[in-house]
This record gives sequence, structure tokens and C-alpha cells, in this order.
Amino acid sequence: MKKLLFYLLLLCAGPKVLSQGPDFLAGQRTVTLSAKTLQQSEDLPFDNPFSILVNDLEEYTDVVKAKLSFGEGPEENDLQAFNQIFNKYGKAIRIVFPAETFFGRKGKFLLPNTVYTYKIDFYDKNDVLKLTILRSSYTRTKFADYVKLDFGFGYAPNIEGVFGFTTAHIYLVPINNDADLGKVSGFRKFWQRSSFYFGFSPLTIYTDTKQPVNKLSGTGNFIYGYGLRSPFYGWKRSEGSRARTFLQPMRLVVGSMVFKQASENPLIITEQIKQSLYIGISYDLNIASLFSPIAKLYTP
Amino acid sequence: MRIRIWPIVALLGFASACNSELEDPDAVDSDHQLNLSVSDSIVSTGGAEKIKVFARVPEKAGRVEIVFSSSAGAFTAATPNAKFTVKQIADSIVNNYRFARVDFISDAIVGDVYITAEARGARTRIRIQFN
Repeated sequence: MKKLLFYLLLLCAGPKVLSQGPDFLAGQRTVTLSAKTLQQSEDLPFDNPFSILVNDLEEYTDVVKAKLSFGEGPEENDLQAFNQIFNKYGKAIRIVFPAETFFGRKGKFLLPNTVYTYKIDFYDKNDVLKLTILRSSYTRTKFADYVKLDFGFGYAPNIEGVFGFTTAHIYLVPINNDADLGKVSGFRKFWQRSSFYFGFSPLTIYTDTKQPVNKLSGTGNFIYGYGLRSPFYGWKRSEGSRARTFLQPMRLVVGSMVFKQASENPLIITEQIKQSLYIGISYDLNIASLFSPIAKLYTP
Repeated sequence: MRIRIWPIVALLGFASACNSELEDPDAVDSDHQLNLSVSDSIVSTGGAEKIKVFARVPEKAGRVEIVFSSSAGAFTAATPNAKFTVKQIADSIVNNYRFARVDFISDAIVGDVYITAEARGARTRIRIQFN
């Protein structure tokens, strides 16, 4: 039975894994480049290892291997050549970007909003140059790279309140969701984890105050504060950690919840606006599929 | 990992400013509760004089309705047949307070008469001595 299961899994996963070629590494982003049209499938990714899969090599039947030169900036003069040989596998050649060699240390990757230029030289089996591709690419970012949504639970000790919330986090640097914080090093790592957020708490589970705590609006109570992503993962480089799936999207948040409270004086019917410090744990909404039964509670 | 001090200082400052003082019914100043006062608390009977009764609430309470009631005697008010109970709106503003006023007439008794004022769950009582 176990063997059957194994072969079934291999049948499902095997062809996909094998088609990536022997140079493919898990967690690596693949950018496809056509040798015919020189079109890239997407911009080079920042903060993440990547490889360039060169296809459409049908008319270059004698091409069997390639070498890479890479540089920051739009100029061909700044290219740094690498000695590593990348062999053809099937109908394509996968060029794995050698980040550690290029930057001279581990934990560094392409920066966002930066132009990079690369040159790929293709050779036949006798090391005769058959084709050269020279291209520039921009590690483009978009607005969605600076804003991430999440959901979570919080506790406010002042009102002894437990509640759920949904917030939008604004980062000061663009965030690549595929990046592994366990592989990134440097000062940018702090800003990749730090965000400022605002949002709503539509669900109040429990409070214990002398006067009732009421919602600020029909949507819920307004919350804002500071978030620290991955507080328990990736401070020391830990490649291939299984904890990444659950610990990297986790966020420790501290902030303030703004709510209404009935006046202590029964003669005054207007509610007073108050705020209370709270601390909480949240998860990025792209992990909501794993927690969908809980996430559905927070639909405003 | 280097510990940076300024985020911690900023967070502490933020935390100290975050918590509002919560509403505590036990801490309401008696000055801001429903207060009742009369022009004369000790009255000689037989004179049928009018006694002014004032109910005072904080201005923030708005135009709250005050229900006056007495254990004896009568109130004079616009509402006909209003004897032991009368309602007034506290719409007279003086110095951050709102006042409602009624006139109470004794009916020549000897003893104590209690006048009660009620508004929005608040209740207070005052005694007038007739001798």
C-alpha cells in the first residue's frame, strides 16, 4: 500500500519536478526568456533566488550549453562574467542566477526598482559561440507590493477584551511574497518585517468593563498600530526550514483600538470615544485558505 | 542582531498615550449627578406659600425630562390635575448646568414631605420640614 501511494505521488509530482531540469531549486522563481523573440515572461524578481529558463532554441540545434554575465545598471560595460556552465536540458537551458558569487556573500538578492543587465552566451559542444543574448530588466514593483492584508486576534488588557480584526499593512519597502526571510540578510530585513497598519475589528469576543463597550461604527472598531512580521522565523538564516509556511506569514501586532463606551453618568446618553492598547497575532490573508473556517468569521 | 533603541522608545511613548481612562459609574462626581434643591427646607404651615423646587443636571445631559413627585402637597404646573407628579424639561442653562423648576404648595401639614426627582435612571430625594 505504501509503495502504491509513493508511486502515485511520484506520478503526480514526478513529471513536474523532472521537467524543471536538474538545476532547478525549490523556492527559486523561474523567469522564462524566449531566444527567438527576446521576450521575458516577467520582470526579474527582487529579494528572491531566480533562474532564467531560455526556450525557443529549436533553430540553434547545436547549442548545448551557456554562460552568464550579469551586472547592475543599464550598461554592458558593468557586466560580471561567471565561469559556471549551464547545460541544455530537453529543449531549454536553465540559467541559475549565482547570487552568492555576484554579491560576494550569502543573503543578498536583487534590489527592487533597479535596472539589471545580463548577457547569455550560448556554445556548441566544441565551445564555439553560437548565440549571444543581451538584455536589461527592471525589478519593477507595484502598489500591491507595499500593502498586505491580514486577519488575526488581539487582546486589550485595559478593557480585558478579546477580539478579531482585519487590517491593511503598509510597508516602507516593497515585499516579495515568495522571498524567504531566512535567506535574506542586511538592514533591509528589518524594513521587510516592519509595517504600519490600520483596519477594523468587526468581531468582539469578550470584554469586561464597568460600562458597556460598543462598536465605533457598523463595520466595527477602528484599529491602527505597528506590525512585526515573522517574529519567530528567519532572524538567523535557516534555509529550507519547514516552519516557513506557518511562521513567516505570522505577524506580531501592537496598536490601539478605538471604540465607544457608554457614559459613566446615566444622565448623559452620548457615548464616549475611547482607545485601548492591544497586542495580537495575525496572519497574511494569502494563508487564509489554510484557516478558511476562522477567516470567514471576519468578513465585515 | 543589533537592538535599536529608538523603535522601543517610540513604542513606549505610543503605548503610554494609548489607553484612555474608562468610564466608571462609581467615580461620577456628585456635582454631575441629578441634584435637587428647594428654596425653603423648613416651612411654617398655614401660609400656603409656594416653595421653589430645582432639579439640576449637567449641561451634557441635554434636554432631559425630569419627573417630580411628592409624598404630600401639590405641584403647580401647566398640566391640569398634576398633583403629586409632574414632568418638566431641564432646558434652563446656567453655568454648565441645566435646571428644571416646579413650584410646590404645602397643604398646611405638620411633618416631613419628601420630594423626589427622577431622570434616566438617576433618582434623588429631598425633605421639607413643616412645623
